[in-house]
Amino acid sequence: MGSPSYDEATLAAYFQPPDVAIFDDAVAGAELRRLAIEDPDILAAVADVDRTQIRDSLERTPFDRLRIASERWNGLVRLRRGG
Amino acid sequence: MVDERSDAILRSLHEANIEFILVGGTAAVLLGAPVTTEDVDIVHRQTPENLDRLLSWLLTHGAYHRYDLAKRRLPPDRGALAGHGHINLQTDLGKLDLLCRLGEGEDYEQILGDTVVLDGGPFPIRVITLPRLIAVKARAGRPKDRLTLPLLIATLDEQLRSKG
Repeated sequence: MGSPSYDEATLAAYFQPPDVAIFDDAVAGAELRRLAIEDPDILAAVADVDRTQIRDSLERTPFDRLRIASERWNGLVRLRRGG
Repeated sequence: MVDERSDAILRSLHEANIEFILVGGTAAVLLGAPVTTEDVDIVHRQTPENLDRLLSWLLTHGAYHRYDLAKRRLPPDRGALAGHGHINLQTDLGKLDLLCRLGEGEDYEQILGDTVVLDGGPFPIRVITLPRLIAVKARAGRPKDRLTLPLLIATLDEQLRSKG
């Protein structure tokens, strides 16, 4: 694979490991701390997630997110069916 | 991938006054995670009245078990809805998975405290919270859960960062 066409500082704004605060979450924290020890690849993969997708999604209302996801899926189905 | 009629299923369940908690991939989409899922997963309340409403809805919508090698299109029964298992159905509005329990000690009443009602849309819908969904999937640890977890964790991270 080629390398990204952006400098490190730019990429760091969009590809980030989780903040340590997430491990203190009252509900998910315990499982995340366990993953950090038993399955660290999952947490390492968080740094590979394109945050622009999430930020775009969070700017929308929940039902808009559902509508867009449905439209995307319908488009894929049409492509798969050949038109 | 979200089924083309997941919105129709949710609306129809709401209009039938069925009490349920949306979990799984469609919940993740509503909560802001950029994930795809094919079916609608719900945890239904197991009161006698709700089981009656749910069974009636399922029969009205031609529900049958998706997993049957003989392809008999067997309809669900009340006993299964009142049990502890996961019931994977096809309906005329799309795929619908009924989870009597998310896991041990995780029925409707027991996870109700970790839900949120999204009421800004065309109808209100009760959804599991993102932290609880992450905890459930982390505990399940199946390959498909492990695949989705980085996206869910990054989404929770973004939400926490935006709150400062």
